[in-house]
Amino acid sequence: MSEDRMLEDLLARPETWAEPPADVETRVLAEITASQQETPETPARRWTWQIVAGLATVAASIVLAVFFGLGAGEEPEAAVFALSPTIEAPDLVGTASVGAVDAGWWVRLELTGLPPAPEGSYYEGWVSNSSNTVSIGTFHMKGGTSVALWSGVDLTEYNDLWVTLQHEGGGHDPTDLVMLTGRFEGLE
Amino acid sequence: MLEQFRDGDSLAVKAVYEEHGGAVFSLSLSVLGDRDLAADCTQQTFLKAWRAASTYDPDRELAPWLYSIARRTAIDIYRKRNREVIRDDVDIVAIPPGLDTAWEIFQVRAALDRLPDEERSIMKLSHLEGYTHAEIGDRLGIPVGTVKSRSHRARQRLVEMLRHLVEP
Repeated sequence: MSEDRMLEDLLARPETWAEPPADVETRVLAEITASQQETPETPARRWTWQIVAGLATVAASIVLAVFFGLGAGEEPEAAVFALSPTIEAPDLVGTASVGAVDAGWWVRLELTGLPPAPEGSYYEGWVSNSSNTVSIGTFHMKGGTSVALWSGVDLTEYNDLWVTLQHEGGGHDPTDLVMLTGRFEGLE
Repeated sequence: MLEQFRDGDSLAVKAVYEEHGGAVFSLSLSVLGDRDLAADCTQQTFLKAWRAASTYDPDRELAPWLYSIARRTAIDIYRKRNREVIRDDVDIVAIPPGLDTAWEIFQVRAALDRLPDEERSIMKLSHLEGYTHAEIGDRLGIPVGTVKSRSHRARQRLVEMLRHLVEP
């Protein structure tokens, strides 16, 4: 086959240009994470801590928007913060609204571009400070763009909010598949 | 990065996926002819590569090694599907019809993914969508002369990157 003819033929084929579904990469990384959790001695396990350590740096560079008093009709105490995508999900955008009631702190995430969690996986929200990391709930994102979560810890003592992709049966610790991060300051 | 991949570093796997995921998917789709199966094949290929990463020699090129895993995976999926679709008791040693051009598809896609975006989009509009240079210029809002020069440059790059496919 001549060079020109081979190229013409291959360039005209749809499969040559076809893009894999967006969730394939997420599925691969979720499987790897799950495997690492099953076999903690895997050498690659060390990058978990590289990501966690790097999270502080990522968070420091987040463009933060804080608007007190937004949504006053529904949630008079709401503070709204921007959430930033990570290398795991660079096309995501979102906000987190946070407010306090007698029972605890509610957190409402408005997310655009977060695909449904792959089979066997789910998303989990976390808040953290320099000492502690606390889960604020799980969700699958199989519909809608809004997620309601609750925090039983006082969010005025926490700085970072983030969302990870978790694997069912993968344990209670956050994975390093961080999808979104945000930093809240000035909560009272 | 290749040494990190050999060590099973997931971030390196992610980088490898971003560089070769398109080529693996194109190969898978050309062999299997079904997007869902091709997506499964792509996923399995990278998981197998990660699990076998310790056997990879970082002094050698990654693409042929990855290709061999993807090809084998596609054949396995094809045969398994054929057994399910036809009859469980039929002994099939089927060769997928798209296998003869799998290496070429893989290489061409990998080369396309290395083109600058503005050249790649013109190649796609021209060769896949069938637009003329003038129509591409209208769609992209650039002079037809620019379309021609980018197209020519892209083609030269592709020929250079793929020369080993056609030379004896």
